[in-house]
Amino acid sequence: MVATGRTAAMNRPALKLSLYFALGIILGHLVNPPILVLLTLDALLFLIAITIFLTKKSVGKWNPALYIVLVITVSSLHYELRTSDFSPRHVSNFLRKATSTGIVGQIASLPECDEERTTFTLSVKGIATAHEWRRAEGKVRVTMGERTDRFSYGDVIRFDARLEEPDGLRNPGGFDYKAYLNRRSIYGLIFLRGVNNVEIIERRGGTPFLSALIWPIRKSMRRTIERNLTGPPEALLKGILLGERRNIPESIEEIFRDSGVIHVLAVSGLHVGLVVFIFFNLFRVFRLSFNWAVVCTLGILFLYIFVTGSRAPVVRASLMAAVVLTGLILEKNVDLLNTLAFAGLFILLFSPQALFDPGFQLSFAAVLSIVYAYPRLKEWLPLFLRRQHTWWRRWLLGGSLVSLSAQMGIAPIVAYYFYRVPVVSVLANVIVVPWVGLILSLGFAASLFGPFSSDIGLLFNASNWLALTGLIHTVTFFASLPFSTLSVPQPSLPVVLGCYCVTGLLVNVKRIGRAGHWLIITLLVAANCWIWTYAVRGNQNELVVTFFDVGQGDAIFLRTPQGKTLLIDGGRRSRYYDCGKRVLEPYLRQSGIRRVDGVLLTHPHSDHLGGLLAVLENFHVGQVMDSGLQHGSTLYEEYVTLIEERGIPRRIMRAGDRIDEFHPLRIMILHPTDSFVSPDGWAPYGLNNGSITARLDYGRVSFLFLGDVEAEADRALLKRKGFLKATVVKVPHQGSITGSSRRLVEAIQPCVAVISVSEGNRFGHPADAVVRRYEQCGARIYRTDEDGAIIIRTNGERTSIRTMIRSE
Amino acid sequence: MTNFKAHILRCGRTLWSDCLSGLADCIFPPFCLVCEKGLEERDHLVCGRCWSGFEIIDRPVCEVCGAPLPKGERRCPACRGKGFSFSGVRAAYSYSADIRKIIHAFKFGRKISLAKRLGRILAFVLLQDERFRQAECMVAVPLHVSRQRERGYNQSELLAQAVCAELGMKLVKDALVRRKRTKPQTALAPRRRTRNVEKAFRVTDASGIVDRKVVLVDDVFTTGATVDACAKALRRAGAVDVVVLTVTRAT
Repeated sequence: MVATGRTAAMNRPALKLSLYFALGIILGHLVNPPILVLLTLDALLFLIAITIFLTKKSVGKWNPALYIVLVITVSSLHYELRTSDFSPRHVSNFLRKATSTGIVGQIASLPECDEERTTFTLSVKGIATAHEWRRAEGKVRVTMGERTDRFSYGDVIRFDARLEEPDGLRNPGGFDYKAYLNRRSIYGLIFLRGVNNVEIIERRGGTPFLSALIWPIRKSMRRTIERNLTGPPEALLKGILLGERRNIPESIEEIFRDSGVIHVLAVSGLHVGLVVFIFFNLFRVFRLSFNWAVVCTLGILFLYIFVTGSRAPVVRASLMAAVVLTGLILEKNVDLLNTLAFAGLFILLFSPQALFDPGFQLSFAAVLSIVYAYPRLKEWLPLFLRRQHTWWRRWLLGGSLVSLSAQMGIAPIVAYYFYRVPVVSVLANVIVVPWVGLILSLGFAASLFGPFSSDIGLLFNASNWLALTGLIHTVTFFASLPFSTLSVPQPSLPVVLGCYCVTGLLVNVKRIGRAGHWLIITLLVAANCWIWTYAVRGNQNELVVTFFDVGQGDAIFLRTPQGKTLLIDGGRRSRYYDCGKRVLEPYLRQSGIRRVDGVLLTHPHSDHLGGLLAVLENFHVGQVMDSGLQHGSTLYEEYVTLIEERGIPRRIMRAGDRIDEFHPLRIMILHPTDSFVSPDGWAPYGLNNGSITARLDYGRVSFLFLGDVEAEADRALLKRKGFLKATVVKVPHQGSITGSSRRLVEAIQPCVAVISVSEGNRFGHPADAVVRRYEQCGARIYRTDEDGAIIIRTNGERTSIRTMIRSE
Repeated sequence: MTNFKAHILRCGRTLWSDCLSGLADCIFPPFCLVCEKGLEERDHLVCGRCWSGFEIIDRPVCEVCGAPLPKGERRCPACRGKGFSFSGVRAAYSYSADIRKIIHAFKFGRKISLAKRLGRILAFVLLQDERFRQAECMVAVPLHVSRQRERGYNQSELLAQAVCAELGMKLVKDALVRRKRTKPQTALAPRRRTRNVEKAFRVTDASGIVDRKVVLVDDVFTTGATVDACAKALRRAGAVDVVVLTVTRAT
């Protein structure tokens, strides 16, 4: 029997233990206590414990507080040792070397390919320094700009490359790639152009269990899929079956995300449940006794964990399945809450960093919510709904309730990380989950029979193609529904916790007495108040100017005291990197901004225009302002058609124009004059010199956005010397020597100069002379390559500056 | 010195066994499957409080169908005219949501060890009735072969075994078989149940039951359709009399 936790009186040791363990990890993360202190404390507590044990001989009388403190300190020590205490040989000490060095390492994962890249994890063994090879350790991720199957797991390879540090959180609302990799114990990145310079020293080392058993299974499954399927269905099936999401097109991932069923694309608990179901019944059909069938299923499950890359959700679900099945053999009652906690404890023992992983959190929140809230929600149902004999009605009802409880559990976390609340997902999951079950079964069948008979494999794959295409259409339908997801501004941590408190109380509404009802009402009122203060807070009289770190190029976002929004340029867009999608959209969603009142394009070079397109496409844009300069690029054509399609008013700006919509800000255009833009839209002095230069005044603080102006435009600007003096200046053209003439800088006399530039760029931006020029005028220099995004807040009198990386 | 050494060794052994049982308790914290409160060490799966809390049928019951009688009557109005093939029913407990949990754990949750305790209770019930004491052998309601294979055991047979072991009675196995893959009676409305089990049972080996008084064992008695079908088959095969013993009865 499986209990669902109806009374509080039950003793759940694993639950308590895992909570204390997690608490210790959180403390370790926040407080960062010195390891020596923790070590001493632990040794002391341990000694006390031993002494008590030896003298009293009785275990029951130990002081629980001692235990609790011991567990908490041990877990924080564990976390510290795993995440920050590295030996001098660790790769994290060799990062950020500007030049390339020789590296030797062993491939530690199965290489994954897409159309033009191959990636794998490398366990570094040695790094060449100036004089000698040094032994090194730790893992890095290697990406090759070529599709190749020359490498396999366990190969020891040698090559020359730069060992780079992954990007941390460089923009508000952005993705912290560094933290993401570190949680997977990966500390460096290596990019290789091609395979030619890589020398294979040794073949087929590595753990035999992986190289001889697990990877062949995975490869064979992959081959079976690739043999018959192509395009989105292939990518989808690889994601569903093996958890390889690399090949899934962005557009498909988006519709899955929008309809709140993205979890089926990662191997999750659902899959484990199906594996157990399929294989257990298979073994029973082959007349194995119950106990043997359980043992064999557990064996298969063990393999499946490794085949899919031992991700947290799979480990969690497999452990829970193992406990439930073993409970059946041993005739033990199984408490699901305790089992869930046990699985969590197990995962945290092996990788305490996982606690901060959104995947881990979502997985546990969903299951916790199902285990805890589902039986309580069921009590809400009127009696006639609870007594259903028709199977499909029972399934529909139960399915929706399970789905609802899971969604309740994950909604706050999803809002926190992804700035959205899925709405349609409650319904979508009821349909999609069993559908994916069908796809999985077909996929397993194909992988089982495919290697022996390609015809049978084809049969299953062909039916799966049908199921997969159907799935894509269904999900597209759900995603296209209005209000399939709601965009919300990122809630703060207390709000997330508050949400859980309210939900926890709400599902218990039938079980708690009068006092509880009052508590709920109070909490709801408090939540209401909070929402209102949030809504009103938009009116702080503060101007916020954000200079995004977009590498080479500019993107600047302004939020006026009145809550109006203006975007100046959008950074670049290339095949691999779209500033709009990577930087601007996440920022706008995080801040809960759905409408951009004005978009100002200084000039149509791709590093200023590229990222704007995503914004024009996905947000309400009030008006677009540019200089009317034309450019023969596809980006520019796309820009023009997009404006026409969306019916966005376009305004051509010239020197002397004013923008009045952003009162109390006064925005004035200083450049270009007519001589820099020919009547038919071409630039006699080049596009850079035709850049719009805008001046913004708010109280006594002023900003000057110089676009990419160069020498010719400088001279023109100097004719309006009276308007040049400004508090903050956006240095033109990434601080290139072609702009920022001495006279211009002296005319501006900035207090703060912001240079938007990428790290280690090949143009040598910013020029040292330019930086010195600004410094000599007394300006403080902020650079996006060193500081990340730069956020300037001002109320017209005082100014405060915050940077994403080096906090002031 | 040796004393100290022994002490340390003893401590070590305690520590080790405590660790093992601690780990087991951590993964499978013992709790009662009925009330879900913590279990004491001597209890197994169900706590003593819950066992004693179940409603025992000790009121006067109908001689034939075992239903509690309205005052003053000897035969109940309910089973008059139904013509059951068995001549008496005895059940230990009145059916309730709590006892249902035990039956479910026993039937579907593989808690086979519950058979021992339930068997003891059934033996006690059996001994109270004269007609049951006179019975010579015991037969369990069978499962269909496919269901038995799927489940791995027949809960009624386990019960019968336990009762026989307690009383030294003879259990006749393989006398009765279920030929039809009947639907679970619980999924059907009461009036359809008789139809569902009609001709579902057959006696394949009558040698054990011919000219004998038989006790038929099942887990639950609701409308009596299942046991009636079994009793009919047994009587036809030559059993002198069939009485029914179940763990619970709907009242």
